[in-house]
Amino acid sequence: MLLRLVRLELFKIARKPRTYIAFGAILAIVLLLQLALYKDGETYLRFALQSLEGSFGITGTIINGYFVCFVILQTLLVHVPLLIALVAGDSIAGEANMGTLRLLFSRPVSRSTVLLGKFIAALLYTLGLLVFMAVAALFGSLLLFGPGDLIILKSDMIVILDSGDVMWRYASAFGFAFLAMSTVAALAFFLSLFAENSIGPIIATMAVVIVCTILTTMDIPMFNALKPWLFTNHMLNWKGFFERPPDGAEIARSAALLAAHIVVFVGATLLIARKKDILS
Amino acid sequence: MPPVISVSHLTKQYPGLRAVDDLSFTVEEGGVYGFLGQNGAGKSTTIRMLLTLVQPTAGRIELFGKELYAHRHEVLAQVGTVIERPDLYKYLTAYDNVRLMSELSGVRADRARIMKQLEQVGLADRATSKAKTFSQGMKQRLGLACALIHNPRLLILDEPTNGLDPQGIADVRRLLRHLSREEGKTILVSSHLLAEMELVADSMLIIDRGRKVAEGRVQELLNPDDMRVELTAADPASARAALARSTWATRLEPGADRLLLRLARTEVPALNRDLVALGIDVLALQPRHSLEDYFLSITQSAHAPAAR
Repeated sequence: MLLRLVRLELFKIARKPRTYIAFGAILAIVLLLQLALYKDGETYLRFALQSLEGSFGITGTIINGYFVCFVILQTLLVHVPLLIALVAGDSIAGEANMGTLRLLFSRPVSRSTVLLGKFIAALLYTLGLLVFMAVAALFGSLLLFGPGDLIILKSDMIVILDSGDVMWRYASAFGFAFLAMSTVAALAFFLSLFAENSIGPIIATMAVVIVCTILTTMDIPMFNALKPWLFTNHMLNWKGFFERPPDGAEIARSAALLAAHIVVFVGATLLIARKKDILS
Repeated sequence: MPPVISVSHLTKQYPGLRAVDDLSFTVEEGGVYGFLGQNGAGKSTTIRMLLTLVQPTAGRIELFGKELYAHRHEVLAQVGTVIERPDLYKYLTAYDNVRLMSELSGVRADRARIMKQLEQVGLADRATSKAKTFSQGMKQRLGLACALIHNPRLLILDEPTNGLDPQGIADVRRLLRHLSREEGKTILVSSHLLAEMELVADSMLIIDRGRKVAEGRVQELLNPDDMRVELTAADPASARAALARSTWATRLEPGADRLLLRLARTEVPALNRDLVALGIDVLALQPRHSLEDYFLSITQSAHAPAAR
C-alpha cells in the first residue's frame, strides 16, 4: 500500500503547477550565472582573486565547466530550501486547505502510511530537483565551458583539483546536498501538519532556516554551544568534498546529524498525526 | 444481522465545549437515515467520529457489528463519504479524482468502472475536465462518484445538498433514492433542509446541543394524526368563506394569506370530496412543513426554560 500511496502522491505532485516553479527557477538561475560567467568571467575572477594577488600568480584558464558548476552550487544551494519548502510545506497543509485530508484520513489506510507516502514523495521530488540541478549546472557548464582542473578560490588559499579527480566529488556533494535538502523537506513536512494553508509552513520553514543560519554564522559565546546541533551548521558541508583530502569524519558527523533531524521531524509528524483531530 | 451503525454513549469534549454528549443510536441495514440538528448541534463532530477523523472522549462506535478502532481498515473499506463539501483535487480531472479515490480505498477500478460511476452521477461527458472548472452541483456529484467507486455498503453524507440549486437538490435526492432502493445501500445523511429530508429519509435522528432529542421512523415521528394541509384554490376568499360555514370550520387555521387545515392523514380524501361538493375549484392540496414544525417544536422545547 505504501508504494501505491507514493505513486499517487507523485502523480499529484506532477499535476500541480507549483511543482514546476522550482525547476523553472533553478534553470533560470543556472542559465543566468552561466551567461554572466561566459560574458564577464574575468571580472568575477579579478574580484575573487583580490586578496590572493600578493601571494599567487595564476596563468591559464581558470573558468571551466567544473569551476562554473562550483560557483553555481555555492550560490544556489542557499536558496533551494525555499523551493523544497514550496512542495513539502504544501503536502499536508494543502490537503487540509482543500478538505482532502479528511478524505485521506477516512480511507482504510493508517494515517502513518498516508503520511509516510507523502514524505517519501517529497523526498523523491527533492531528489528530482537536485538531479535536474546537477544536469543543468554540471553538464550544462561542461558543455558550455569545457572540462579542466577545478580551482577553488578561498579567502586565504587556493585548492587545485585535477580534472580527473573532480567528478566523484561532485557526485558525493550532490548526495550530501540531497541529505541537507531532505532535512529542510522534513522540517516543512512537520510544520505542514499544524496549518490549514500552505503559506504558513513555507514561511515558517524559511524563518527557521534563516534564524538557525544567523545563529550559525554569528560568533556569540552564548550560541556557540548550540551551533554543533543546528542543522544549518551542517547543511553546507557538501563543500567538504572539495577539500584535499576531504575530512571524512567531519562529513560523516554532519550527515549523521542531518539524518537524525530527519528522523526526529518525521517521527514527530507521525506521532502527533495519529491522535490529531481533523477539523478542517 | 447487526446494525450497520451502533453508537453508544458517545461523547466529545473540547476545552469549554461538549460537542457531543452521551449520544446513542443505531442505524439498521438499508434505507436512508436522516441526521438532523441545528448548526453546532454536533452532527459534523459525530460524523467525523464515525470516520475516525475525531477521537471520541468516551463511548463506543460499531460499524457492521465491529468496534471501529479495532477493525478500522476492514470497516472503513465498506464506507463511502462526502463531508460538508466535496473533497476534490481541483487540479485533477474528474476521471483522475475518481481513480485516485478508488486506489485509496484499496480498489483498482478499471476505466470502464470509473466511466460507469461518472455516468451514474451524470458526469461521463466531463470526465477529462478539471474539477476546478465544475459548478457546485457538479462538484457535489463528483464527490458522490468518488464516495461510491469502491461500492461501499454504507454512505455517510454530511450536508450533501449544500450550495445546490433546486435542480441539483432534486438530482441528489433521485440518486440517494436509487442507491438506497435499487442498490440496497445504507445512507446516513445529515442536512438542515428539513423538507428535503422529509422527502428522502426513512428514519431520522434529531440532536440538539450534542444530545439526542428524537429518533425513529419519519412517519411515526411526524404523527399522521396531526398534519397541516395547504389548500390552493382558484378563489381563496370564497374558499375560506365556504369552509368557515362547513364542518371543516374548526380545522381551518386563522390567517388570511394561506388556507391551512389541521387534520389527520386519513381525513384528506373526505376533505377533497367536500371541497368539490362545496363548489371550490381546487388547484392543489399539499401537506406543509410538517417536519419543520416537528423539528422546531422539539428543539424549542429543549431550549425553553424549565417551569417554576
